[in-house]
Amino acid sequence: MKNRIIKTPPANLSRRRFVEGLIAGGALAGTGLWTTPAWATTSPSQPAVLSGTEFALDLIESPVNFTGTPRMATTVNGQVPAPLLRWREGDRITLRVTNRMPVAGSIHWHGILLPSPMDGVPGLSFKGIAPGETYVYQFDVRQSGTYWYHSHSGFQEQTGLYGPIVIEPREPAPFTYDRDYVVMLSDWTDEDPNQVFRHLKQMNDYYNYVRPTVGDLVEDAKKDGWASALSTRAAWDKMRMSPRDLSDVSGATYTFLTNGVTPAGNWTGLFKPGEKIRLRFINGSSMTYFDVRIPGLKMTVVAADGQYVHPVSIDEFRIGVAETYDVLVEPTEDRAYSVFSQALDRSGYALATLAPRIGMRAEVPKLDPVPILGMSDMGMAMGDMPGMDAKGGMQDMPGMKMGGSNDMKGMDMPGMDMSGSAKPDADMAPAAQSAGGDVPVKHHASTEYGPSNSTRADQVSTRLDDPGVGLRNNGRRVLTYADLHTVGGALDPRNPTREIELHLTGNMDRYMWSFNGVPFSEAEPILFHYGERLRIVLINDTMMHHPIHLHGMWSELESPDGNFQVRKHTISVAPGHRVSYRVSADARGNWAYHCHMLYHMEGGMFRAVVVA
Amino acid sequence: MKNLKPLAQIMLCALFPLSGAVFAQDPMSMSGHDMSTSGSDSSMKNMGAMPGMDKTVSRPAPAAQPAPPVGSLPSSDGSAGKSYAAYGIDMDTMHMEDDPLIAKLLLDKLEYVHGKRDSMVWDGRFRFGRDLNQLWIRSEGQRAKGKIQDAEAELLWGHTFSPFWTVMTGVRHDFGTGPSRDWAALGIQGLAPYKFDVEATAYLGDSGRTALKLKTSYDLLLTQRLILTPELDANLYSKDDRDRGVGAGLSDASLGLRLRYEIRREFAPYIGFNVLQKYGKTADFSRSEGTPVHDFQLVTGVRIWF
Repeated sequence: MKNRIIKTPPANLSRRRFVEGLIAGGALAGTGLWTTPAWATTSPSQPAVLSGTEFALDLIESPVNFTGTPRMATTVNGQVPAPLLRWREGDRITLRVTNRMPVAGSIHWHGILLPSPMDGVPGLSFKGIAPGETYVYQFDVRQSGTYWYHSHSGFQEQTGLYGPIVIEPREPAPFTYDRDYVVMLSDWTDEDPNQVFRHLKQMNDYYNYVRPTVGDLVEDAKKDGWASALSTRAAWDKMRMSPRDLSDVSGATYTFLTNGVTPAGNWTGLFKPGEKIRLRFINGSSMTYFDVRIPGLKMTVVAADGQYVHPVSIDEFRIGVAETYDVLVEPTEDRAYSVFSQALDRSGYALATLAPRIGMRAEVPKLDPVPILGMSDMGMAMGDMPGMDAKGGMQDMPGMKMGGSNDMKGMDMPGMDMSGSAKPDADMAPAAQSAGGDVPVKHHASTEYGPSNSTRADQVSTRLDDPGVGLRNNGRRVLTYADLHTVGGALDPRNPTREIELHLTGNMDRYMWSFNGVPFSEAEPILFHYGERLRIVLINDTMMHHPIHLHGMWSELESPDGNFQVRKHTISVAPGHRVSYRVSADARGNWAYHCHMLYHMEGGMFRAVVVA
Repeated sequence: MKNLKPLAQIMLCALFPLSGAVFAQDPMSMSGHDMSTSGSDSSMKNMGAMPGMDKTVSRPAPAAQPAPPVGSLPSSDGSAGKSYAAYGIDMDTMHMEDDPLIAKLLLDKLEYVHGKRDSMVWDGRFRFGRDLNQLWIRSEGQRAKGKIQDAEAELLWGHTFSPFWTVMTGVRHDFGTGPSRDWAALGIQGLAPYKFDVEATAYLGDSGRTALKLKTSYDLLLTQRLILTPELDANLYSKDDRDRGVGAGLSDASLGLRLRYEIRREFAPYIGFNVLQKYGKTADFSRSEGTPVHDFQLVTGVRIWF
């Protein structure tokens, strides 16, 4: 995609470092028609919903204007996000995708079980769709729920080629609701994504405007004294790492969209007070973790990655790239509510409104303080930390003052409850033993010791109940994987017979990403034997979150004590953590397996899984 | 540990009707049908279907025997032992960018120097290549009274051998006042612990001359855009070179402090000062030529890259 007009980020960035966007921006805004896909505007009319069993989708470059600067987007049918596809479980559907762009394209149906040639990954599952060509995808729909689709060619996903899929189940849902809205979160940059990638290679913290400064040092010193502030700063500098390495691409260049609408544009979902609303949240962004809450409304999570979970009531959830969460809300007052989705690094937010009438706005919360990573997020064994005693006692932690006035928002140390005691708001007492804890990392592949990998974790947490950096102890009930239990249990009751252990690795300084220190092009395919039940163990040696997605097969996450936890298609692995999940290799063919952060994937954190 | 599992299951089952009562209006939801997944008839045929969706919500399937703990099963990295091509995976079509060709031209200093004499100074480096192997051109120099007084240019091959360090080999050409000199170069460049940028290069010239150049700097962020950079440079030579005005041993050193404001990442004007000191024979040569041996300089310039 040629994009000659490069917009520079606004020179005057203050604390809210993002572009608010146009009020009436979006796809086709460049043509003066000033519309976004109708399903993405207010309820209830949805002419840009495509349903049935036969679909014709055009991949086409189309002018958009989200920020006041006209740009070209890669779209489906000229819309960003792409049309909402409504399928029915059990149908055989046919999607004729015609590429009207001057470059090769593709569509991957994220989380959908289907034969390998229908999976849409050029070079792996098929040849891609050349300019002018039409590819006919056809498969039987074997599942129901909320999913999404996007390009798997180059950086087209970043420039607008993503859309929602809602699959009607054969049986009615085990809960009722009066309204049903897709809430698709995404990130838009006016820059050419090739340029974004180049910037990251030239200067890895190019978009990071939350790096620790002298000002931060002074603030830390005021809280904890100069000795501890300086020694914490020195500890990070010695490792040549930064505790503020949260997002590679931030609000410095991104505008965050809800259903393709900027915060200024205020996408609104209508309701009548007392109604129950099903919100299908999809993180269709390229690089952004969103922390989502609706001040004034409790959310009940009823599905994750399209699969029903036992309902759990929460105030806030973190949704990683490519994940989906269905929540029910029940607004009883005749007022507007803000659907507030802040980027993990607090460099901006996506904003939408639930209201009884169009044009209403609710108060928008302030952005939370910028999170700061702790040594446990680095995967360091506690004893190695200067100023800490071997037992990991709280007393001498640099930068931390336990008890008293220290606000824990500033310092995040999830592994700190070394005694294995349950965290304060654990629901179930017996969970304490099965909550997991810190385990030593016994093995690193030899390839992890080269220039492609900067750090190796010594010790990682197996806990699933950590809300994550920036959400700990914030006074809100935050969703964790430990809260999610798939209805019906594991699809395959067999235990795994072998393990594949992979480390998530990278050299942040040079923006190199890999598994086990080996980038995709230098690796070999990973082989699953058809019919086997295996376990994948992922250890995060890096300081960033990675949402790992296996195409074509479910990832059945295990709890720390080895039971089935939740079925997902995308599993987010936090820094300093280890996860394990079971896979039934029940679909032959070549399947992509990768971090869903687009620039990490392109940068080498990708593998080809062959099921043969 | 084992005793807790049934307890946890009981509690899960207990929680179930509670949530069922809140959500499910359909009387079928409370039927407690066993899910077909847990029984022995569960087979691969069920993989695609969602048994949980056929019935409405019910008890979670009882777990199979406890899974072997992580780390107890045969473990590997899953490598197929064959290339991508063996499985029909086409790297060209996949077109991943995991080692792209990247170019970066950095003019770290482009400044006007006001000291005992005034001059213009540059210091830049151009990098072209991939993650682990690159072509480098480094140059620094000084221009005064309309001509280049003292400058050098290097052409080097860099090989990144560890996460933070690159070994450089190549040639250096000194020009400006006096005869030009050529050297073979071998050095390293990278980021040292505590985030010091370091360049250390050894040179071998004709008649067995050797030289050593050391540079180190640190970026201190006062704010997100205002950055203070102290820098220390030093040159050492094994032999006098009267024609180029350098003496053996520690020849010269400079300590600089620059404050830059990043209007954009790629464009940052700065001000600062530089303390320049010549030593030994170099100082003597300097005195005889009338150039300053010790100089306190004010500098102003831009740091740009693209």
